[in-house]
Amino acid sequence: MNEILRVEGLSKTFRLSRKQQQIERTDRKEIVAVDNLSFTANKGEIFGLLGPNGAGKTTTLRMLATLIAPDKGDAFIDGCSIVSQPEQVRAKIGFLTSELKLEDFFTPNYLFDFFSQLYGIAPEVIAQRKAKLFERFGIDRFAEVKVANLSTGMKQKTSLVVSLVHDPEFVIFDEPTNGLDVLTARTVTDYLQELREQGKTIILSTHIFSLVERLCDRVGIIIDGQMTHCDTLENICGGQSLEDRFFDIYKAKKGGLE
Amino acid sequence: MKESKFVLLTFPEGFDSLTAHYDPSSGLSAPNVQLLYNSASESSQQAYTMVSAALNTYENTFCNRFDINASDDESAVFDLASNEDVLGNFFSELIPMLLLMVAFMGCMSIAPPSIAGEKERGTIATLLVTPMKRRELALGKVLSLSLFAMLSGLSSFTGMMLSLPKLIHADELGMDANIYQVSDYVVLLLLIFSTILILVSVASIVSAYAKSVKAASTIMAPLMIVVMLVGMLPMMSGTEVSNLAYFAIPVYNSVLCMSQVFAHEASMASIVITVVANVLYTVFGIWILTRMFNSEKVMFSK
Ligand SMILES: Nc1ncnc2c1ncn2[C@@H]1O[C@H](COP(=O)(O)OP(=O)(O)OP(=O)(O)O)[C@@H](O)[C@H]1O
Ligand SMILES: [Mg+2]
Repeated sequence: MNEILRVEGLSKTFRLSRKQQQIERTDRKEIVAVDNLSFTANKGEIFGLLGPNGAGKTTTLRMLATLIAPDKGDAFIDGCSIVSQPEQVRAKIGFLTSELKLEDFFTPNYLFDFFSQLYGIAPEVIAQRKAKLFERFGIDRFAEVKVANLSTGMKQKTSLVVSLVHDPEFVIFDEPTNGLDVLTARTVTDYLQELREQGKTIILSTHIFSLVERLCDRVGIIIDGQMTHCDTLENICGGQSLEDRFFDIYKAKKGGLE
Repeated sequence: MKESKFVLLTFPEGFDSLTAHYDPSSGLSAPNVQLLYNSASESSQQAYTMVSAALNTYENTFCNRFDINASDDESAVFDLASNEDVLGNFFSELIPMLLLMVAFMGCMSIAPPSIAGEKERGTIATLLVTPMKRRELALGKVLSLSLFAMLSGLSSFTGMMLSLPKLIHADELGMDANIYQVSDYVVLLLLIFSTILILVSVASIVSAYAKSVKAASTIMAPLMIVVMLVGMLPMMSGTEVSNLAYFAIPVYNSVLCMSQVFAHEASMASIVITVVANVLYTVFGIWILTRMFNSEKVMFSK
C-alpha cells in the first residue's frame, strides 16, 4: 500500500466570541474542534470521515486544504507539509466544499479558464480538459450563463469542475452530496469512483452511512474531534450494518444518545 | 515683481510737512501713502496687512492727516499679483483638496466590494486554495483597484480643469486659465497616482479587516474625515515649507506638492520625495495586506 496522506496529531481549538457563545449556548471560551487526530490514507482509495454534526470533519478538511492552520500537529500530502509547505500542498490538491463560492458575475466558461490560468496550465490542455469535464457534467448547456442565474445544482457542478481544473492527484471533498438532488448526487458519486479508477486519492466527509458503504474503502469515525476508529469498512463493522455499529461506538464514547 | 515677497511703500515728497499742515476739514484730499504688494505671495500679503495696520494706527494718532492707497482713479492697481498668480493661487488652494476628495471617494467605492465583498460572498476562499501567492493577490488587488480609481479620478480631474475657469468666470475677469504646461500635468498625474496607491492600500487593509462591505464603509467614513483634515493643512498653514521632511508625511505631502505645482513653486526635490515616500508606504501597505490574506482570523472572521 502506497501511503499518500499522513496526519499526525492534528489539533484545532477555536476561541468563541460572545456571539458564538450565545449561538452554541455555552459559556466556554474555547471549543476543541479537532483533538489530536492521526490517520493515514493510501493512494488510489476513497477515505471517508464519518461523524455527527459538529464532530470536526469540516475543520479537519479545511486544515488539510491549508485554509486554516492547526494549533498542533501536522499532515503530509504526498510528502508536503500542510504547515510548512502550504503552497506546494495547494498545487497538489483539489478542495471541494460549499464554502468556496464563485463570483456571480462570471460564466462557468470564463471561470474555468481563469482558475486554470492561476494554476499555470497550458492553453491547449485547458481547452481539452474543459471540453471533457463540461460534457461529463452537462455544463456545456449553461457554459455561458452567469453563475448568478444558475440553479444550486448547476452551481455545485461548476464549483466541482473549477476545483478540478488542474487534474489533482488528491481530492478533498466536504459533504459531496449535500444539497444535491438524487440525480446530481449520483453524477457526483459516479465521478468520484471514476477518479479512483484513474488512481486518484479522495478523502471525503459525510454523515450519510449509505454513502460510506457505497463509496469508501476505508473509514475514520470522528466523535467530538477525536478519531475513535479508523479501518476498512469490513473491519469496523464486523458483520453489523454500519449504522448499528456507529450507534454502538457512539454510545460507548458518549455514554448513550443525548 | 512676481517673485517679490515685500511691500513697496511710497510716501509723497515732504510727507512730514504735508501731514503737519493738512487740515482734514479743508475738503482737499489728504496726503496719500501708496502700498504696492503681491497678494499671490503669502509673505507679501502678510507684510501688506502688517504695514497697513501699522500705518492706520499711526494715522489715527494725529486725526487722519493722510490716506493709504487712496485714489480717484478707478483703474489704479496696488495689488501687483498678475492674473496668472491669482489664478494659480486659487487653484493651488482649492484643487488639491478637491482631487484628494475625489480620489478618496473613488477608493472608498471600489475597495470594499472587491475585498470585504469577496470575504462576505465567500469567493476569496476559492482563490486562497489555489497556489496563487498571497503576496501576488495583495499586489494584484492594490494595483488593479488603483488603476480603476485613477481612471475615475482622471475623468473627474479633466472635468474639473475644464469647468473651473467657467465656474469662477475667469474669462469675464480677463484671466486665462491655461497657465500650466504639459510637464505640470504629468507631475500632477504622477502625484495623484502615488496618492491613490496609498489611499487604495489603506482602503484595502480596512476592507480586508471588515466582515462585510457595509462594515468596511462604516470604518472608512471617519477615515475620510481624517484624510480631508490632513488635506486641508496646506490651505491653512501655507505652501511654503522649510523642511523637506514634511514631504514624507502621507496625504499631506501630496496635497502640499500639488499646491506647489499649481502655484508654480514646486521643486524637483519635493516632488521626488513625495512620490518615493508614497510608493514606499504602498509597499508597506501591500506587506500588511499579504499578512492579512495569510491570517485565517482575518479572512474567516464571522
Ligand atoms: N471558525 C470557527 N469558530 C468557532 N468555532 C468553530 C469554527 N469552525 C468550527 N467551529 C466549531 O468546531 C466544531 C466542529 O465543527 P465542524 O464544522 O468541523 O464540524 P463538522 O463535523 O463538519 O459538522 P457538520 O456535519 O455539521 O458539518 C463545532 O462545534 C463548531 O461549532
Ligand atoms: Mg461540516
